[in-house]
Amino acid sequence: MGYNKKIAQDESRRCPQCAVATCLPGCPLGIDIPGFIRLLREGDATQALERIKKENPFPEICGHICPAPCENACVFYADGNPISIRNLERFAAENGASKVEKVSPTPGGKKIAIIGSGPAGMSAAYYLAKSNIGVTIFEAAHEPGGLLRYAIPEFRLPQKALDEQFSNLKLLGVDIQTDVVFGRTMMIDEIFMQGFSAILLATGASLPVFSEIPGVGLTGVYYDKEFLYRLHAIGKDIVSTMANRQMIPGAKTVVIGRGAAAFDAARLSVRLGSEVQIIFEGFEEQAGVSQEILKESRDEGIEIHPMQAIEILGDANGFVQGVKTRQLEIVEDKEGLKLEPSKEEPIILEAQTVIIASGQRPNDHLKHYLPQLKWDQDGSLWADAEAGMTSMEKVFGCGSVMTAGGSVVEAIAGGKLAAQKIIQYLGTL
Amino acid sequence: MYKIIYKQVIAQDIKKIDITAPSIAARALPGQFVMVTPVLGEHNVPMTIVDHDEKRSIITLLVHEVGSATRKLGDLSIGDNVYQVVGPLGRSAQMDKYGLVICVATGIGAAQILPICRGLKKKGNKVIGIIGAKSKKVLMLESQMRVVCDEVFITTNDGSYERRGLATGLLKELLNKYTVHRVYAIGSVEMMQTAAQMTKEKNIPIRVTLNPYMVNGLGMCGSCRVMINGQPQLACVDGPEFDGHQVDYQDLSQRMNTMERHSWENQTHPISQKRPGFAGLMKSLWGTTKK
Repeated sequence: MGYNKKIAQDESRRCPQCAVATCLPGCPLGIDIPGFIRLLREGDATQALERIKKENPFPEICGHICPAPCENACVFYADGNPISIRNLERFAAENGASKVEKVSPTPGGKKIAIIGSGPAGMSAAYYLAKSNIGVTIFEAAHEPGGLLRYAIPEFRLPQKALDEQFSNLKLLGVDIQTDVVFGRTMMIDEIFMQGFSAILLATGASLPVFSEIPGVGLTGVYYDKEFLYRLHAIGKDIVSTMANRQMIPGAKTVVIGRGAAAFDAARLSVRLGSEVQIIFEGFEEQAGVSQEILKESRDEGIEIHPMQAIEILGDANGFVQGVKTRQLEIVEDKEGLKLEPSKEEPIILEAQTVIIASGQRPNDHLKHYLPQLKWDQDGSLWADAEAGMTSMEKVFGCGSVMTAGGSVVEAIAGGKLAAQKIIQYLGTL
Repeated sequence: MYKIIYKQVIAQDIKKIDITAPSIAARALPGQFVMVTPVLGEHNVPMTIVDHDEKRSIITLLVHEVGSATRKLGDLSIGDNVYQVVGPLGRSAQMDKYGLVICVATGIGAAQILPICRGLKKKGNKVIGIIGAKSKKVLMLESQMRVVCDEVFITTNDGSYERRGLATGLLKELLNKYTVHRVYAIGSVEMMQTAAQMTKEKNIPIRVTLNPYMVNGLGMCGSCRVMINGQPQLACVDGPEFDGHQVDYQDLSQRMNTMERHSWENQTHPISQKRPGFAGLMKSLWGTTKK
């Protein structure tokens, strides 16, 4: 639930308005955090929203799902009670009257094709359209939104908030074509033939890095995105009945790994009536999600353990039975506290469903289709740091495909940067 | 947009539909597939493009009614619009001039092998087709295969048509009889595994098309991962056709297991799955007339 006016004002009053704000460098987008909180304190949500929108085109989305690196940088973080900047942003987005000015692209002007309508593509489209450049987004799925639509459950980001963003983008003159698979339905030369000056690849990184734990091939083992996609594919309305029928998830679920997707999958499983344990090799602070989500997850009954998964066990028919794990112990050495596997006997956690969250990498299809593209060691797309162009002429990249994973707010920042690079490139033409 | 312009029942629970999809029809290659969502709120189902006509801008699909989504697709009539069709997806089947090629398919695999046979024939190969079916009732695409292939053999498990027995039994005979240059196999995991073993003994290359559970077919989730040569690969992006000697069939049958259990759950569930159909109508009519 979002904040009401009273709580929002109380929370914004708590902000000390530091002279040198520590939260500022925490935000990848560079939002003027103390500035908008000051405006909220004065009770002016509209002005606060304006202030946020200067740097962040989608405060509704960030207000719901941002991992809030700024809160970790807050001066109150050490006390365990940082200012809830994300919730304040959400309050501003929900209560401020935003005005969408209608912009139409210059007739006969330059056009850019964006591949993928995830957060990076949306943000690039927003900034390009604002500069009166014609933008067409090609999306492979039936509805735009990418990961925001297909992998983030409804309870974290309402689909309505997402639809609103797209109707705003359409007002800015952005054309969104769905059901178009780049390299299958629409080839790269056809895009250039249609008169686009450049292509921006915002295809994201949603493919899991395949895990090497023995037993990943067993029935009932899912990767994080696979699990979320499957439940989304089944449909929002019938999710609970169908999920019961399909036995995803089983009565007991073990999530191996960390990150936002791991916690999303875990919390979705809890909502479908499963008992969930999250295990990963690290301290709780390294879970990859904000303190708030950790707390909420624990309140929902999810157990979080520092453990090392050794093997996934199955029965004779190939269905998952449990996970063999080893406890991790806290050891102190010169560098500080460390976790090390204990010498005790491994523990077996019972589970009918196992979800593995082992990181992400870009889609393989792009590598097959455009072998000219250069890729970095870590699996991310290579691009010139200065010009932003990939190894192919007139092809740019942004978002997770460039970083091989990362949060939504980083993707939005990536899209913003790519838009600047493209505008710069169009100027040289 | 994706309008059904033709529909025909060709075997028990199997319907053939033609859908207008200009951009897909213009680009489809043998062995590629589309993801079809029949109506809003249903699953999307991968389906092989059996045929495509660029001039009329249609693609032909064969619908095997097994789950709720395929049933809903089968229920649509001529003139109705399919909610979503995305494609063509996957890589094209490997195709060149090899010499004598045997194409084996069982069950719904016949729909997948037909475009491959056609492509191989175009390249100038001599093509022998083998179709395996449970009984004559569910045999399909016989005439189309006879047009495309040089020779077609049919086996039925119950002996209700042509030869009684398994498709792999016939394949073994043919492999002993002729010098075969390549084999294509599509069907159940056991069939493909047996075919792969047979060809391995004789050192003949084999291509198999795998059908693991797919969620969106775009290489986004890793649901259709299969083990090829010890490495996980995605059937939707790297496949669906692979080298039959390198596939880990044990892992594949385990992964296919998921789908089977789900199908079971679907079948036993009472609501909306059972349709009265013609038999039900006749029954009720009999009831009224008798009274």
